[in-house]
Amino acid sequence: MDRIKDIIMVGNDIIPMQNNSSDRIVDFWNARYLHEFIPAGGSKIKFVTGLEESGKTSMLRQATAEAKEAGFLTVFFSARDIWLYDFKFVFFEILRQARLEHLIIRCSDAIIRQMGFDSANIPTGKTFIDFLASENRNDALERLEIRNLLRKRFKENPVMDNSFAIACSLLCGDCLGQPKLEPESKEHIFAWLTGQKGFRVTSLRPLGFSPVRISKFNARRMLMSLCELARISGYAGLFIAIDDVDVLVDKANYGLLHYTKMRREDTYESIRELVDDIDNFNNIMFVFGFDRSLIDDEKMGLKSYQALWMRIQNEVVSERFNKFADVIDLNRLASSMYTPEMLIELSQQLCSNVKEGKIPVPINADMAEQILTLSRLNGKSIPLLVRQATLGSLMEKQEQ
Amino acid sequence: MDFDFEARTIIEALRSGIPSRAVGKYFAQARPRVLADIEHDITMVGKTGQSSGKIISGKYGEGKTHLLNTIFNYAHDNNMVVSMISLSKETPFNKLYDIYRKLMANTYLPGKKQPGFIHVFQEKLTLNSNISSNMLLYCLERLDTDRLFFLLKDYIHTNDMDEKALLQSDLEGDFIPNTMVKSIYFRVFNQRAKFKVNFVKSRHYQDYYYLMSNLFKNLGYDGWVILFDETELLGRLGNKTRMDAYRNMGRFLFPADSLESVYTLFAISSSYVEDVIEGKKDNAVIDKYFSETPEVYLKVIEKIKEADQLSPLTEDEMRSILSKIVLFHFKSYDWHTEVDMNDFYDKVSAGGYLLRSKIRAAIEYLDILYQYRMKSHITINKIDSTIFEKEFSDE
Repeated sequence: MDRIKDIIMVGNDIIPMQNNSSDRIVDFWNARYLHEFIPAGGSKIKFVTGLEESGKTSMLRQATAEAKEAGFLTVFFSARDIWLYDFKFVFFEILRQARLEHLIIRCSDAIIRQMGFDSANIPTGKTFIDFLASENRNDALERLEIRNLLRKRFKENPVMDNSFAIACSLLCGDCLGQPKLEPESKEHIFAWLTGQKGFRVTSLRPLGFSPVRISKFNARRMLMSLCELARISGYAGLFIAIDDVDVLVDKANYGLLHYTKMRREDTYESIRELVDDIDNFNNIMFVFGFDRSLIDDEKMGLKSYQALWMRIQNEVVSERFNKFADVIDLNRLASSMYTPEMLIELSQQLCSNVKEGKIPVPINADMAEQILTLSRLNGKSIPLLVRQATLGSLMEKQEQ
Repeated sequence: MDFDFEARTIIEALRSGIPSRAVGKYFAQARPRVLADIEHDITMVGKTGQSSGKIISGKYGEGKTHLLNTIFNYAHDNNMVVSMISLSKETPFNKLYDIYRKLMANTYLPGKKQPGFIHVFQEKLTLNSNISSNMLLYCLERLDTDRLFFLLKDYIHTNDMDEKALLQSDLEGDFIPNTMVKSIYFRVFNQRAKFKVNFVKSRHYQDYYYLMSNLFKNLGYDGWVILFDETELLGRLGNKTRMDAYRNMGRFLFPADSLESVYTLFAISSSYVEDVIEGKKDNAVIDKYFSETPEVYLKVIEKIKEADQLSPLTEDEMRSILSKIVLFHFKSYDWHTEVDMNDFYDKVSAGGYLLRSKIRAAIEYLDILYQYRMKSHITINKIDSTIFEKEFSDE
């Protein structure tokens, strides 16, 4: 699989770029988090920020691709599409992208393996119990063994919410054929887990468990359980990238997800709770991406909700860029890592990828130096300046 | 790469400045006296069944939450149930029946990483079990009202899953009407349930705390540890509601006999005395509104004033923490270098007065050394910690 290193936008085209500064962070995350800390049971929240066109989205996408390659179940969505003020919406979106049925099948395959069989040998449309029956091994002992394995995996799992565990145990049991669920019961379980409107949780009581409706109060607990389900299904963990969180301070956004003051504060509160609770999660990595305006806007941004800002702000700054930092400012990263040679290389890559429109001209060493100075003086994103210089608009502006 | 997962967890948590149970386990040891006192009190609560409570105070970033997390671990290791919540606008301490619901939702049985206990009820509170008979007897003899006697009896005897779930949610703090308890009783036993005292949740909620304290003992646990963080947010409450909150604190700090084997710990900001007790003139408020029973409130205020302070660490304690951080960093990333501990101490102490800032500076120093194999100049900016003062003065 070709590895997407980075992208920048040229008009409507997405141009792959290599040797971008954010590569180094993603490579670093890949080594230290995706291959080491998170699969071993760790949990982490990172924030990626920067000015317009500093490569935030591309970094989030790139990190997601790396996580997928590292064996993670990955989720990527924009805060412009999903409400963040109530964590249950975040949970439902993660659950939708995680494909619960697929996880249950993987879990039941693992149980089949534990019992010494291979699910590949089970004919399509048949359950494991059907298969055992055809082998004359559908006896009480085998059925008891299945129940024991289900109990150990779910109900006795200390990391799973009890109701979530029972729901998964029932679905997994149904998948194995022991015990088989009525189609209506199965629908009810899915309706509860996916928060379907109009669904009464009391209809699950005949199944022997009495869950409460998934709400902002218990959604994080459900996510912890989902994470555990992903792990026992054979994934290294859950990787969740949420982009465009700056929608919270976007005054021009008159779309469906327009944040009022109350909802904005509820969102900050929800992120704060997640930050405080992250130590209780296992095998999960969150990355939030947002424009610098979310930090700089004192009235509506992160600073307006002190309890969250106190947790995110890092009062310690060093001369060199710390790749372990929880808040990655791509502009600071770029200015500390880009050399004139790297900018020339970026410009050359851009030239070879532009197929129509303005005729690009690769920048020279002088221009590269100028770009680095301009970026420092005007606080503009380096990839944006490289693009403008390569396509001529920067030169035009300067001449004007 | 070989790395020590526990060390990595600690370094990651310290770098982020988030409260962490793993961190608490190692770093609260820097405060041996406070910790030893609390551990002793908890052990006594477990042994004697006599409940007690304590307040600890400290500046923002001095490690109050870490200390609570250490106690959390200690209690779990000693077979005790733990409930931990942070007080906030949404968790107002003047309404203990609301607090009860939040506490129940954040109750962890020993060995469990997820909160929840109802599944243990389901297994243990069965027809004719010893626990069931003990509990029913307890409800009749020790509680102020008999609602919970009827409710538990309903719970133990009903076969209807809907009813069972309703009764369960009541025990978790979603109180159902008295009439519902009575109608379930009538359906199950074909007899009318007559309450000796009409149960009103705002007046009799304490029965639920008493019941839980006894139930956890009956289920085989050695007690119940309740941890309240960010108690300083009581300062956001109005005068009268703040006094109600003090009275409620008193119920845990000077507990009634019916509360069995419960140890309660409140963590409060050290600026509370100046900002709220003196700033808002609590004594004058008591004189004005509660002149007939001032001692109830004054006792709690006195206890807050006398709270054990988490004072800034001494140089020796700080050096001991720094040595541990160096060791954990090496183990985390499987590396080693010579660190001049005097230079390291000077760099870390140069800026910032908060323990949190110093620890973060220490991690940053090691991070940079690890990534670039050279030292870097570190600046510690002042953290904006005026949040509470600002909010208090808003009122």
